[in-house]
Amino acid sequence: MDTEFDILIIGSGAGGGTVASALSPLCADGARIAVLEWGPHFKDEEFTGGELEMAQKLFFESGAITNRDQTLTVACARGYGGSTLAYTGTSIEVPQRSVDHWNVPGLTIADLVPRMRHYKAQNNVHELSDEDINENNQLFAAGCRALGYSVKKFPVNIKGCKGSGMCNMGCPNGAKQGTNRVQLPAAEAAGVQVITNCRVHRILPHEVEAEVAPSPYGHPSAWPAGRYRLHAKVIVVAAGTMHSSALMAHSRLPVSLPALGRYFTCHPALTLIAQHDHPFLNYYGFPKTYYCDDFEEQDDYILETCMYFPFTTAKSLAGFGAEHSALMADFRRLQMILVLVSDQAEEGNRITPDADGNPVLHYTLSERTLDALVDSQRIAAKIFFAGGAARVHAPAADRFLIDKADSDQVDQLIDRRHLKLGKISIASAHPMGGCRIGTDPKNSVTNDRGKVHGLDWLYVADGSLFPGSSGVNPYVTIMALADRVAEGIRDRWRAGELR
Amino acid sequence: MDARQRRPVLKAWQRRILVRLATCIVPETATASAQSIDAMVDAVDGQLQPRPRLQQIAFKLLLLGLGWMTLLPAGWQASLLHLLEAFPIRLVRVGIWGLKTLIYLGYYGQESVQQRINYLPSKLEGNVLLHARRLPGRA
Repeated sequence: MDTEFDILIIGSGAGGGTVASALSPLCADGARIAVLEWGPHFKDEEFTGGELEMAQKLFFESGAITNRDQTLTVACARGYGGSTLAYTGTSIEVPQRSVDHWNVPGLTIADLVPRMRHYKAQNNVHELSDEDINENNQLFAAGCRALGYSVKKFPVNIKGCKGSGMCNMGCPNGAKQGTNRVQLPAAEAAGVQVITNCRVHRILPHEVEAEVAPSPYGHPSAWPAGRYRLHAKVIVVAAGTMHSSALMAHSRLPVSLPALGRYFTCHPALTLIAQHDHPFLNYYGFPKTYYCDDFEEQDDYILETCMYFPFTTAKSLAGFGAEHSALMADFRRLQMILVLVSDQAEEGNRITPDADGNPVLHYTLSERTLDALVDSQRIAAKIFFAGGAARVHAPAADRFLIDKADSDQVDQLIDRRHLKLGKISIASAHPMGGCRIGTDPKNSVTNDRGKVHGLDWLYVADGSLFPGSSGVNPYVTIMALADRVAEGIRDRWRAGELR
Repeated sequence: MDARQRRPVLKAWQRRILVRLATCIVPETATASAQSIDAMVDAVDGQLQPRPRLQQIAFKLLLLGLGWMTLLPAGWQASLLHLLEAFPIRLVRVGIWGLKTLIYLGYYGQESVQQRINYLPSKLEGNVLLHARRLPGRA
């Protein structure tokens, strides 16, 4: 097989898949483009919906990469489509205030909006009709409205959704329009090669060391198992926030990049669970329909509906024993809210590689983040009660369940004193930063087009580009940033620089 | 690798401690079938298998450290575990969180348990059942 390429893209998720499709027209002009994806190309029938089975198949470390002090877990998927296999498909545009806060010359909301809308149209993003909204979501909306909070519908990228509720385990019906369904097939049809089961171990100037290994899942890789040295004029790293930083740091690139891996953010999140007196329709239908961002600008958090699976739910509860079992005894009575904090980009929060090039996360939850996690639990508890819940579990409460009779004391019962790191399950599905865009190589890794400072052959195109938290679910923003990266490469190709 | 071909991480005595601790974390495991208990412990072992050796050793040390507790009356065990869950030293809290999480994974990850708690999702007919307003599971 060919080992000489014009463009190599490492990773096939929201970033890599977008770059592949945006650059695919160059194949007609003779460009040789390949995508190297660590995970397999799953067969449709392999999306079984089994909670543990899918966690092991889809995610690094079953969805729980922990930070060094083990107070946070981060979920990162792999496979043809990357983390777009496992997201819910919620498609919110990054708000202007986030882009203004990033304060990167050349990166404006006016530039990002048309790109985000292009991919939203491509991925069939729309709002669900009211008849497809289940009661878990309706109760959240009712609670918010009763309290005078605004509630918005998520735009979602689904087509032919059958309401399995299994989005985070990979849609069993192929309804979610991730890069595995839209951008990658289009890129392949235009001539881009996608090599699955292919891990890149190291990046060298115009070269990568990669290895194809057999997988028990998915379609066979296009290439036989073995080690490869591949050459390219341009290399685009889109291995996902955690792995892009780790891979680049492990590669010992021929430039000094002091900000590499740093300024990591991740929207630390908690799942809150309420119990109602009667069962209701909570897990049939699309799981995530509404959100409330009234508190994003002032208080750094948003609240979203969610509906997870039994093990994930059980571990989200702080506590154990009879009271835990009683809450878990009838899943149909449970309502869930996810609270996500917009954490600040801090230099010390960083990703480093271990000896094998795997990411090691050094992340400390700041006082500001912890305060927001506590405050958001109070608001979530009030929304639950306003929606009719009988009891609420908040991990920072002084008791396992707050009874409705005590609902007027929520502000006192949920307190920072009870938020003990290591006791509660703080999780993240939105890792961002590490290869942040900027102008100064001291505090950024790439320019505003994703080109790594000092290396004209190396680009980054995934969530690691974020200069700070997006404040909202990030995938559409990742696609817009990746589109900018692709545009810069395309311009160079057309100018003859890469031929 | 096939689960049957794997060499277990946990030895028999460690599995026994895990099962005894599980009755404190999830009380209904005390009356669960042998098949369900084996499935729980196998799932925990399966999670430990790909983890770095240091993490495996840390978990075994935790079991060793908590093993004596299982000789106490159930009420005392629960009180002690609650104390450790909120212990002032973070590392202790993290250890108890890890133990709980693995036991929940082993127990609530089982399809039979999920059915018992009325978690019966439908891959193909979720929206049909939603529109028909048909509640899943037992009355």
